[in-house]
Amino acid sequence: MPKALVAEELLALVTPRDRAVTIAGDLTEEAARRGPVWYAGALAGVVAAMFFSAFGRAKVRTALMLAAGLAVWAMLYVSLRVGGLLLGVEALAAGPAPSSDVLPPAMLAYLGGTLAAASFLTGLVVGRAGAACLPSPVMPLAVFWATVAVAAFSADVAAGRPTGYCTLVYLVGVPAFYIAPLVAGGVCGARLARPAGLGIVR
Amino acid sequence: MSRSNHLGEFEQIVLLTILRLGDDAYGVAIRDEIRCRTGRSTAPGALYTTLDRLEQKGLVSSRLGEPTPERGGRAKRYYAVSAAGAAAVERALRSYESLLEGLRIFEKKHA
Repeated sequence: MPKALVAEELLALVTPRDRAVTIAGDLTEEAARRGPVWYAGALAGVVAAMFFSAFGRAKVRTALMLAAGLAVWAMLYVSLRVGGLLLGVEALAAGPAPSSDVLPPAMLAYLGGTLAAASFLTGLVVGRAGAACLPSPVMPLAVFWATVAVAAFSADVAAGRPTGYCTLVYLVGVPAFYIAPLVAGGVCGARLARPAGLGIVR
Repeated sequence: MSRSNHLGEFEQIVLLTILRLGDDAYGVAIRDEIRCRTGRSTAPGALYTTLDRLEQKGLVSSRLGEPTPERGGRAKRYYAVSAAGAAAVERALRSYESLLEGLRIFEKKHA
């Protein structure tokens, strides 16, 4: 997927699509002289600025979206774990406690897979249901996960016990297993809603 | 005057920049012009949220241009200052002039 298209889809989660297209065009034009690192930072900055601008105008609505997103995520995560139990793979997560902080690869794959699947499906469900809303209902949850990761990492640093493994979990695991699948699901959900003729005006 | 008609410093800069650029006022050009004229580097997010806010207040309007290849086939959004926007800038500048006048008197007294 070309980076401008990715930018356009991400921007469409926080601003009407016609504006997302023109902003993605501006960023693409400027990235030709500033490079891909600037592009990624500028895109993240615009999405965050647009989200917090909308949050400032509708705090209660955003809080309700977050509560709904968390409820859907928890329900899906529990369902996936119950599904794992029925399929007989739950033993991967319920095995003996590892002697070190590092999880065994099979346990990590199982837990990471269920977390990522729950996040993607949450994005799909709430992204499709709230395709007419701006910002998209996946954004409060994505920002919440990012805040939790930063807060947990900061607490570890403040306590003077940041291990390499925990740092990896907060700074790589949370974006990889929670935020990226959630946003990808939200983009897919919004795209699924559009051709379905739901009368959506973004 | 309602509170929404008061302009923040950055809103004034954006409106003046759009007026300077005339028909060529779109996102990249506005950021470049602000950097060139004020030496101030503007975050893209700050500019787009400000443009949205000014448009919601009715102080600027926007229209789509033609798609261009260097933008991946995406159109530019050109901005123009409305009559209400020009009046708001004028009011803000008159306030500044009034404040500066006071400062000149102060300087003369203590020279």
